[in-house]
Amino acid sequence: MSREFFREVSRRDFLKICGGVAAALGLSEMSAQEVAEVLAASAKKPPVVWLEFGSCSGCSTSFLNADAPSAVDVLLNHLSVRYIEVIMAAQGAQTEEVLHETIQQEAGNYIAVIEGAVPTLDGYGMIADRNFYDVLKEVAAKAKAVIALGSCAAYGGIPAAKPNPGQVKPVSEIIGKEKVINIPGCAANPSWLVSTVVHVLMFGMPELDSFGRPKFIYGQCIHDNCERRASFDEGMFVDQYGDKEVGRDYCLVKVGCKGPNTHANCPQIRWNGGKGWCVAVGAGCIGCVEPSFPDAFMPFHDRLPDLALPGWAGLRADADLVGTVLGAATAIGIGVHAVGAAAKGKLGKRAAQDEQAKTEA
Amino acid sequence: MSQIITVDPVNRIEGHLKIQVEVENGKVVNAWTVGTAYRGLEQILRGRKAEDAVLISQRACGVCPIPYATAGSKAIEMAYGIEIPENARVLRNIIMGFQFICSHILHFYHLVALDYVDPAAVVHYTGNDPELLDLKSLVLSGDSAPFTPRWDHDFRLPTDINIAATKHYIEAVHMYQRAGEAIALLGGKFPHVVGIVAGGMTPKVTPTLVTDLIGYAKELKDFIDTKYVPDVLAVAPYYIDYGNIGVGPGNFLAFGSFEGPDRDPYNTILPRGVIMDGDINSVQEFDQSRIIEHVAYSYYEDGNPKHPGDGVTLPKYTGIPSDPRRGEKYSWLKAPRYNTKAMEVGPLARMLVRQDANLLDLAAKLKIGPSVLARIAARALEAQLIADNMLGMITELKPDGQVPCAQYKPTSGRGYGLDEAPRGAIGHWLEAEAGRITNYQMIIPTGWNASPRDITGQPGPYEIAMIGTEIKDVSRPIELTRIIRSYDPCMACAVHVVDLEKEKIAAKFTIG
Repeated sequence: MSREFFREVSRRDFLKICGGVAAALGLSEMSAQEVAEVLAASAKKPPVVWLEFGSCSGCSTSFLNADAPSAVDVLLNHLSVRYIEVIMAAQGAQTEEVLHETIQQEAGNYIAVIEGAVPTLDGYGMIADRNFYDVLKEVAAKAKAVIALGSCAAYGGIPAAKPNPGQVKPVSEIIGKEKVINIPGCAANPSWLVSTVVHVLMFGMPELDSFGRPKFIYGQCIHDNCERRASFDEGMFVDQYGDKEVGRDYCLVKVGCKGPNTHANCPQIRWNGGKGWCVAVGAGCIGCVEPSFPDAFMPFHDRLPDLALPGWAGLRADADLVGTVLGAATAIGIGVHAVGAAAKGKLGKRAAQDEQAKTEA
Repeated sequence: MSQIITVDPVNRIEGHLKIQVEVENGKVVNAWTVGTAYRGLEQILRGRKAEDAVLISQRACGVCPIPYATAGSKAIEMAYGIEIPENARVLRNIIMGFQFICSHILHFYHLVALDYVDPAAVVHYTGNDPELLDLKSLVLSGDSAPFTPRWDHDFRLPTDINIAATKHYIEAVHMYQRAGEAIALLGGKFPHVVGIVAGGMTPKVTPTLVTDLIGYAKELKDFIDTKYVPDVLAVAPYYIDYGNIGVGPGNFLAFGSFEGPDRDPYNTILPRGVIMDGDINSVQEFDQSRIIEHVAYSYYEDGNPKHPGDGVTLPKYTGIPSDPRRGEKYSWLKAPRYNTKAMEVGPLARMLVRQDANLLDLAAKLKIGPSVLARIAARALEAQLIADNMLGMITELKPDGQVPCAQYKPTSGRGYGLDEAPRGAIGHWLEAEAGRITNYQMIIPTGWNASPRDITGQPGPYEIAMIGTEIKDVSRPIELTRIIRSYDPCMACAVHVVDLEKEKIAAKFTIG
């Protein structure tokens, strides 16, 4: 029911319709006049279908942590989330009816949010006796845009780690890259989802990088914006968790921080109402937003093999050397030159970014 | 004449679940619980460094990742002979406390409440709470997804309770966020944390941290004391028949959590223990050699029922049975049994093992059995118990400005970590050689509760709880989904492959 619709009906008809609505809701004491006022005030919200496949539900629960606007505000005032298994009131076959109704009535109009990777083996992931991949194809076909939320949906993520037991694939490999926006992260920061949706609704599709991620979120290297960057530049490191130093929060690359290879705005926007992010608690980044996560980032607590540390080894690796050593990582999606860029540290950053841009193009 | 009713998906849970029942004369005579998705995290862990299991295994569950991190860390610490610092023990209890609190709040308000509370009652709301007014206009505008449509044939609460509970539903989202913030102070972010590592914890213990934690603990305790527990008590009388619906197998298992300075799992606020055959006042010690896992009705290669660490298990999908009565394989879940019995795990099990006086008094007063209502009440009272203990835990911290983490060199060894997730007992078993995982094994809460039949045909706890239930409207069997949700299912956790080429790992351990 849109505002436009109401402009085309007479006030009398309108009140009659509203009376019907009130009756349908069992609101005998609610006057048609009162309903009409509320209805006229409410504009149509963009419809959303949120599907969960091979996932841990962590991107759903992460969404509940949305801060500004809050998840409540988003659900009540900004989006019409028709299908979302974790919180929808509907049950059983009713949920399927909601899904099919939305696809039909809102064809070309709804945003599909996909959480989780997609098993390609028959029977390895089913909703209402249908394989996830068939449900995905049906929902994606008529969606206005598809948001692959979290690293599992975007790139395969955790279940795609070797040996990929369920033979899972990312969303874009099932339905094609067209109209897919990847919002990786394990879990995805709720701000990334909400700001991307806002971008789509207010300004159209955001500019994406070669991995299908919005550049306004994933455009910068974590290492470059890290609150502990000064320690890195000065060659001050945590050598092992539990080091007895007081007062100074040293750089974590020697205990495995993957910030130099990871691109996201975590240092700027942080997590959970700004209360934390991985580096802030002294554990380091694990690279959860990158296409090659998690395989290329394990062992999580080992130092990046080719990251030269200022004031420590005194060496600066060049991109070719890094490329040779990290061949395995390259094969599963990480850009050699991106690694090289990080390895060169701040000074080599600009040139390396250009190289990365060339590679991506 | 009997008929088969299917609910698929069972939503407002974590992960993918389908249930089927056979109904005869309005009564469930047979039931099947079907885990419909598979990911196989343990297979992924083989060959990795043991520490990676702490970060990977958490990803089994985005609702309760913390207990995976603690169980994984404990397994490594046992395997490598590491003793964690006192501040780390305390910080783990605190982060676990916030995890339980946020998970229990989420479960009651956002997963379960819509089965009992009618948020559409807000159309009668006349106050000025902005969020309730938003919801009111949403309902009136006819665009009230995702709160409609719904099964609305059995709402029984008066308008004022509906409105109050709906207001708390919204507040509970904010409380969930607040608990997430507290977890982020210790873990970096939530869900999925980096701050729990083998050897201890990574955040420095500072006076600022202690102060912040006190603030969060106090705020959440207030919500539990003034909203969550009172709401459960207010709703219960209207659904008092559910005090005898959904009674499970009567066997309860708890591994225990929140260890004190003596680190004795039998001497904590949530102790370890076992209750068998409905004898709820008789708590026994737990003996892990009595665990057997079955695959007779699970999508894995057949084999004799085995100890979880014993033998090889391979996925083998054989399709959806055309009729569940035909006795074919039907679920991705395996069927763990303790002492040959199907076991219930979770808040009710823990509170019974603890012999919690508040719960036992309430059950006696309301005349309820180990049912749907008992599970919901046990969860609320457990949240309150933990909240009551949070300030005490926080003041155990010594704010010395240090990172509470023991330093060690990875070696070879075997270890296990037993803990409690909000939804029940969780155990990780690890075997490592030169720092690398040669075997990893998880037995997690919903694996017990949602298990299918075993080789003797004994149904799992959900199935037992559903059998005997009277269904008022077979097209909308809300009795069944109320039963299932009372357990707080976490299907993604439950479905994992046990891949043990190196056999007999867990069998080598003796667990007190």
